[in-house]
Order: sequence, then C-alpha cells, then structure tokens
Amino acid sequence: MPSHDYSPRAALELLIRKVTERDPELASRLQSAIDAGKDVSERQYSPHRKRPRLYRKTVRFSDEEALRVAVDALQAHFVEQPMFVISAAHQFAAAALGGRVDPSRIPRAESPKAVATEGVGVDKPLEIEVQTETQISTADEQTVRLAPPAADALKQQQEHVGRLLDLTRFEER
Amino acid sequence: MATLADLEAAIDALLNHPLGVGQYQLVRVVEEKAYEAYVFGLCLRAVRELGATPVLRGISGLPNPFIFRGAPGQIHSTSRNYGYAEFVLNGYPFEIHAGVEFKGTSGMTHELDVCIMRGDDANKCRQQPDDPPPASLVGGWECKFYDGNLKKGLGRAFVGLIDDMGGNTRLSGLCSNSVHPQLRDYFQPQRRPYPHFRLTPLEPSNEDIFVNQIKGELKKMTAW
Repeated sequence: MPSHDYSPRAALELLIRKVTERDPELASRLQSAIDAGKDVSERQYSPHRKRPRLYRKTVRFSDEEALRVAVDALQAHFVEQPMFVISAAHQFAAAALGGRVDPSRIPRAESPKAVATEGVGVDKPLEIEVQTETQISTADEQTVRLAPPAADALKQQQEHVGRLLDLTRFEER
Repeated sequence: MATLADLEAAIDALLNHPLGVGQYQLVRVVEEKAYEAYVFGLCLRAVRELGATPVLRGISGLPNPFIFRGAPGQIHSTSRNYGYAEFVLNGYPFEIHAGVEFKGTSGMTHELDVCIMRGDDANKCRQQPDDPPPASLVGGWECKFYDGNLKKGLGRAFVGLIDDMGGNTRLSGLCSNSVHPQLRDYFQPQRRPYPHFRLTPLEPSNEDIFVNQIKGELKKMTAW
C-alpha cells in the first residue's frame, strides 16, 4: 500500500519550487546536481559473442533518485557545513596559542609539551578572508566569522533532514 | 498516509530553521573555505594524537582571530595576520598551512588548500620572502566541498599538481564530502593521491583514516 498521496515527481517539483522561492541560487545548485545524471552499465548482446558486452552510459536520475540527490544537497549545506565549523572549532580549541616565534629557537630534543600550553582548551575565533589581498574592489565585509552553532540547533536540522528523507522514500509498505 | 501538506511542512521546517536558508545566505561565499578549516582541524587532531601540542601562530603576531586566506597567497604575505600552526615531533619542526602557494619542480607555483611542510623551510621563506620549494612539502591536500557529485577535472588537475611537486611529497590526497565513482578508479594507482571521499563528520571512520595516515607518515619521518 502506498505510504504517500503524492508521486515522486510532485514531491520533487514542490521541493524545488519551495527552495527557489527562498533562494534561486541554492535551487540552481540543486538543479545542477540533479541534471548531472548518473553512470549506469548497459549490456549489449550480440549473436557473435557468448557474453554480453558492457558499456558505460550516462542517464538522467529517476524522480525518486533526483529527490534523494536534492535532499542530500540540502543536508550538505544545512547539516554538514555547520558540522565542519563545529569540528574545526573543537580542534582549534585544543591547540595552544602563540605569537610569532622563530622555530629554530626550539632546542632539538625539547619535549613538545614544554614548548607551549597557553590557550589549550580555550575557544579560538576563526575567520575567513572575503576581501582578498589582490582585490581592487572593496567587499562589504573584510572577513566572515565561522561561528559554531548550538548543538540543539544542529540536532533539530538533522531531524528535519531525516523527516524529509522519510517523506521522500517511496517503497511499498 | 503522508500528504503533500505534510511534505510542505517538512520542507518549510528545514528551510526556515536558523541553520536553513538564512544561515546559508550568510556563509555561502565561504563554504569551500569552511571545509578547508575542517580538514586543517583534522591535521591538528593528528598532531595531538601523536602526543605533540600544535601551536597556532600568525604571520604578524598572536592569531586572534585565526584568519584563513580567502584566495591563494604567499607564505610571507603580511597583508593580514594569516594564521598557521606549528608543531615539533622528536625535535623536528613542522607547520600546517592553508591556501599557501608552493614552487613546483617546473617553476610554476601551485596552491595547496591544506598542507604540512618542514618548519625550517617555512621560516626561511618568511625571513627571506620566497615561495617554499617542492622539497619542503610533506603532505598536501586538495579540499572540495560539493553538494552534488565531484567534478572529474578536479582529480586530473590535482594529479598534475602533485606530480609537479616532485617525488618527496609523502602524503597527498583529494578531500571531499562528496564522491565521484570514476575518480575512485582514477586514484587507484599507488603513485596517485589518496581519495579521501566522504571525508565529513557524518562518516567518522573516514576521518580516522585521514588522521591515521598523517600520524603514520609523521612517525616514520621523525624516526620514532
């Protein structure tokens, strides 16, 4: 018995339309991911050959596969990206903080632990340069802060993605 | 039975969440660099798991904030207080950088998204401004964030880059949260970079593989 009152095509059109309404550029990215298609292995039979010949063919995704591609793409932006920031923030917090020092001043046999521990366990602000050193035009921002989101916010988005995956899975039950 | 209204509500919940479209619009220009920061962080983890403490530094002073380059740049550039990490293993100094250009064996320069290099060479290139030589590179990684399949051309380009860095590079890999089936085959030969596909916090075992490769090679280098 079907578990949805809508088809994969209807679901895909709704998803793309909703994303386009919010952000056409993001919708364009989803569309590009869908339009890339997939490789399949096709068989060619011949009376002159005992076994079929295999060849590669690029085909379009089915509607259900395209839905999965679109949801995976949204997961990449809304779940994976925040996870990258959280992971980086965690690793940087565990590093020490030092000013400008000539490494040749560090004696060869000295224990690494004796070199620096200041700042270990302290959150470090991370920023990414937007206005690069060779750009003539001036960007509105010079840098963008990579701020890790709250854990419960990320968990909510993971649940939202999970719900969307459930609603876009079309196996007969 | 799920209805179209249920689906629409689920889509709205995802898009309208604080980590949805609004957040995406704030950070879309730096998503690629955020992935590089993540891979840089995994390198820091490898160093700590070897028992050393990585030290964050800035080209002009204390790296507060720690700034990642927005475009390929020279290791000696002081246009901003770009950050890097320094560590010592068994007396051997190393540095971890993001977005630094190296000189290839051909003389052409190449940007490495994330790299580990010999500390002495890095310091020399800051003191007497120059691009680091290929022999200074220990490990170099191309980092690509994708919301669809990887583009095949990336693999070809990176193979060419690593080839021009000469035979002394001990570690190289294409890191991505995504994958391309053909690229797996392309990277299979032993001499080619390692395909760190699906390198993402969603796949902790792949993170472990990446970190352990670095640990193994650094241990071997420093005769531990």
